[in-house]
Amino acid sequence: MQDPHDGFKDQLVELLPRLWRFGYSLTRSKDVSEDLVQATCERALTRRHQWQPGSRLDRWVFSIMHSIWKNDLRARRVRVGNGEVDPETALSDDGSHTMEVRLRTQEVAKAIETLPEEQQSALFLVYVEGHSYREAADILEIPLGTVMSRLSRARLSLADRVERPAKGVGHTFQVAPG
Amino acid sequence: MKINESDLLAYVDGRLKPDERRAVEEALRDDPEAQDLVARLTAVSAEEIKAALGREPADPLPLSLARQIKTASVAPPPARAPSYSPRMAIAASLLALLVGAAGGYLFAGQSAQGPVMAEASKSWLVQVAEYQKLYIRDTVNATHLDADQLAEMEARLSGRLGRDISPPDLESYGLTFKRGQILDVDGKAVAQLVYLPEAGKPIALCVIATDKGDLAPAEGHAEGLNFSHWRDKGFAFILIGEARPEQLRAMAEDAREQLQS
Repeated sequence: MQDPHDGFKDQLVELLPRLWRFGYSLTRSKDVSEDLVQATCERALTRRHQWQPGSRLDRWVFSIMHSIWKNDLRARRVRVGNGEVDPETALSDDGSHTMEVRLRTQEVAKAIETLPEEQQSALFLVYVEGHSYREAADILEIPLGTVMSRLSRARLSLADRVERPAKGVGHTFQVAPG
Repeated sequence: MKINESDLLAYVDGRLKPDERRAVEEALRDDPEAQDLVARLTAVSAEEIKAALGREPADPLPLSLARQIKTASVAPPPARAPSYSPRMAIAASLLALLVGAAGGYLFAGQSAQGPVMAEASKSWLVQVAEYQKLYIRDTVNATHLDADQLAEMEARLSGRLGRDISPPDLESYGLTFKRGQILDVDGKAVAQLVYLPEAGKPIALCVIATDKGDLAPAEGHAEGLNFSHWRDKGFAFILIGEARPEQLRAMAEDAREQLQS
């Protein structure tokens, strides 16, 4: 019983680790994240005829996930989840090479936690997933200007909440090469 | 020219076109207020945000999600009988609530019809095989771990698995180690070490704690893939991929020896 859409399913499964990470960053809970990713995949499968082959599947699926989170699941978080996880323990430690970097990363992670959720999503899509401002705006279904103002609000708040690194205090004015 | 915050954001993110960038740089020269804003916008860099927000979640990806996608069908089945696991039942009822009748039967309905129930009782080995089957070269081709990252990865995997684990060297079989991650199979941690052969799809070595006794490497076939599996001192191992059984056997013997030390 070979499903003609198996290629679509395969692509969806390929996306799972990224969906998991995005879902986890939204929900901070294993169980809610699992429900969210599951609901997202289900909706993507049900509506796969709406997806334009050739366009980026990841953006479309991320947008579905964000919409489910915003419209359906977020309000139920308290009822469904086990409460929020401390950012210090929520994310495993990897890729941080020195103690200094690790502490800094932890400090930044804690500061990000205190930001409004919509700012966190914008930060995630643009700086973690590497989307353009426009792509992030499409995924979040908000105007481009709103994405940019969320990002700059977030960056400015982080500046206030995170100690500057001991080295290289202040901004060295950079004239980009080229 | 008066520069606004959005221009400055795009500027510090390096997302302006060259002429726009020059214009901002020019305007910045005589605008201490904007200079201060740039300093604050960059106080925490994009890389630092990425490092903080983009770390692997502490809870690994549940492999059951892949299984559910794979077995999902679009046509809603006639009836549902919630005789599957309570966890699935909760998820299913939640989903029915969330997604509505139109889509809510997709996963849940499958369970009622049998396929997922049968799947649920499948061994970790088959679940790993199902997931592995979806791997293509591109999945891992671009990844490369440096020595520090490798050490971090080994520490992370060992911690989750409850056993020291470092990727066996299988270079002599043309296999390059690419990536290690923890997956969740029915609530149990599986360490997955992915290798890329010179040609063909990736080959994975997966490890899980088991209470079964030792077993010498034995070959098998699942989901169109070949595997060799063995058990050693409370852990079960599987080496799985498209390679021929006798190749896998040789690699498995070698890997087993290296993992014993």
